[in-house]
Amino acid sequence: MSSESLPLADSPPPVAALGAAPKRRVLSDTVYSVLLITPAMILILIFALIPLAYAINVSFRFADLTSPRGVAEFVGLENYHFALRDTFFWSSVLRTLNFAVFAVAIEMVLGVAIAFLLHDIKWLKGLARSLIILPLAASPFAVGLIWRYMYHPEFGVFNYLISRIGLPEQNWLGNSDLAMASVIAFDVWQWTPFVALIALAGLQSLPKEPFEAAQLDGASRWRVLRTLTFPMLRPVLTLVLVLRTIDAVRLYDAVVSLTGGGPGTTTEVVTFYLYRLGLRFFRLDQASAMSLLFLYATVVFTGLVLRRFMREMGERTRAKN
Amino acid sequence: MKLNRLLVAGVLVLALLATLGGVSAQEQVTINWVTISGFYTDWAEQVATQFEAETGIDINILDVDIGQLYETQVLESVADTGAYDLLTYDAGQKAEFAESGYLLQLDEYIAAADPAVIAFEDIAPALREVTSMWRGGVYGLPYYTFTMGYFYRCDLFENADEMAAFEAAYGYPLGIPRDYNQMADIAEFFRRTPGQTLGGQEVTSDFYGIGVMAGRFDQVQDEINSIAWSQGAQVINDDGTPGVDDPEFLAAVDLYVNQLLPFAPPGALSSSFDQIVAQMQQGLIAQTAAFFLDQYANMARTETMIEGARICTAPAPGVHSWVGAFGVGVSSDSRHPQEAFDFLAWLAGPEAQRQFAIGGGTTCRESILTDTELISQNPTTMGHYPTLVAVLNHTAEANFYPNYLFVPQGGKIYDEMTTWYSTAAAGEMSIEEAMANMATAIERQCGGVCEIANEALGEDYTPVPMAFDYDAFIASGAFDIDVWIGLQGG
Repeated sequence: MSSESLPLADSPPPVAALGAAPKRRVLSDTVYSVLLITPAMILILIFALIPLAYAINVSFRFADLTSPRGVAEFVGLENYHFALRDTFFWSSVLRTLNFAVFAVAIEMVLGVAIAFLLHDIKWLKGLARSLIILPLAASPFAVGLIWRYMYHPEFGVFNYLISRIGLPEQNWLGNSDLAMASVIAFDVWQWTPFVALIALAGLQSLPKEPFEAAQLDGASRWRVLRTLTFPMLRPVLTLVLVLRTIDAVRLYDAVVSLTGGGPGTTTEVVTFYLYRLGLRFFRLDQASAMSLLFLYATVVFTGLVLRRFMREMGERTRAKN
Repeated sequence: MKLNRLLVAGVLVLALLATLGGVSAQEQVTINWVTISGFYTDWAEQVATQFEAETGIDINILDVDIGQLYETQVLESVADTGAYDLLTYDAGQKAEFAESGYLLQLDEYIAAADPAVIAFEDIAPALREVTSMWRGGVYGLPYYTFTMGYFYRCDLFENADEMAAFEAAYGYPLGIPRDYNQMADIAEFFRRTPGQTLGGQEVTSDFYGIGVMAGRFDQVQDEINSIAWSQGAQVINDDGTPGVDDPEFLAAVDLYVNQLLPFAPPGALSSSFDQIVAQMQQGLIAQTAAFFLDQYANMARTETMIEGARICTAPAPGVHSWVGAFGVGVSSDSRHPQEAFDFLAWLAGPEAQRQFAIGGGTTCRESILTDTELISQNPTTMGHYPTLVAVLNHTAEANFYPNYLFVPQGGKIYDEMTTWYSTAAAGEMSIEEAMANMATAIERQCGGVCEIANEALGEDYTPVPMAFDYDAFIASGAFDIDVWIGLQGG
């Protein structure tokens, strides 16, 4: 069908002008939008907001599930006082931050580097993309158990490999100085591909014109990276940084399968500590108070980063228009 | 008219069918048993099939990883969901489960049951005490014991050169350690580096004197408590105060950390029981600390993997190690308690337990543990039974049961122990500091002084270890299944 046969749609005459009755919309845009998001909102209400409200309620009560009192009277801020004074909780928070900072930083650097490599390769790009997805697809707990054996000082493949190149064998998970680093390495293996894939998608969506202009102007590769690529990628990288940070502070599976929080308490991160307090000792009151404090800190951090991100995105959109 | 009659008849037939269906659905009973995933469950499924065929009762086995089993059961029990008819618990959790009302008292059911099916008196008394009994009542039946003993490479212990060298160095003959200081001597003695000899042969890689499970897993407390109990120290004192910061207990932890751990493979600080088995099978260690006797079949595989190796067993030094079993009890929320009990009686009964034992499980029934003919026919899977019987008999005779087993907060204290013992072992804190934290944790869990509900053990009960006759044990040949079978005339 040629374009000539199509009715012109550039400036349709007003419907009323044609003498026909205006066609009534069944749903307004607002109602339609509300209907679209309603199922998701119901799910969020059931699985997030109601439990959150319950946790807030419990955090102001005495609640020991295994005590005959169960969930009992209001105790005011007592659980929050306990949380603020509990040195083991704050130690686990510090460990979590330590983990998150190092793991996410390494994942960001490696992930972006891998994205650049994948962006530049000419062949087998699809295969490479498929292969790096594999760690993401695996269950952290199941793979963690395999890694536990790979880390084993006597039978593990890591010690075999480093001994082959003449380096001293290490007690990866049993040495207090190395255990957290070993957990970080596992997390980096599993989540760097996520950063790489998102960064690759960002790279592929960048407009070509500014880069061609820079090439014509004879800009160096480093200058192009510094002044064009990274600034244009920043929204994507900010988003992936936020997502990875939120996920990293919720670390649990890897710790359970690799170290059980040990040796000692070296890798006892905050989720693991809260799990013990809430589901091993059944002190839901104290665990809820600590969870809420931690949630508050996470929300504040995320809000600050995302506000800047949204502001930048808004400015860009306005600039484009 | 004809159509109306047909319609009415049809409705009546449908109503009848629906009623029959309802009756049938009402009669079909399903028992939900939540238990540990693994070997035990595979066997239990076979047993359940037989029970289903005989009774028409459906058995639904829900296998849960042992790490999550405790909280899964507690949450369902607290919420009174009735999700499970049968609960599975560790001996250390029995007090909590019974005291909190999660388990139904079974005395009346046992009294009404066929004595031949239940054969309650046939369960080893020590295991009955730690797994079934609470405040004088019965709350469950044990079906699988993990009681601890000691494994060693008897080919090395009986090597003439090694024996002479050991006696020259330590002033007494090499043999089964009778206390933990001897175990430490043996650990030190057998530590070899490449180039040194072992059993007359040059070693090419590091060989270690002992394998220990010092990782942050449940087993670290099994090992340390065994040392403490054998030396008369307690996790919780007779008056309910924490014992873990007493000098005797600190000495036990010190021995573990500073006299055993240094001679273990570097993986000890992240090891649990499976890695000790692997270390033995790979020919890396000469002995274990207190270790689970039910692992005999796996340990004995060393003999086929290392040329000339022989694996022997004995009670752990001082004998008073972790004597325990997994128990099964009827949930107080069960909608079918009688049917649940019937299955439990079948599962823990003589017939099913015999099948379990033949399949490689470690039963709790004396009649099977002492069945000479059966053991002689299955030496690779039952070679530890004579040692196990010695441990169980000694425990029952001594009437020694640690206070900790009679504290209703046992399950929570168990979890605390893992943390603080591992912290001490890893050197993250000093032993004194870690045990002080452990003492604080015990007080927090008990809400002050712990209640020790061991009145049923009798007024004269005092938790004091009793000396074990190692000479009689050695004379019985129980340490080596081949010797033992020979002495039985087999």
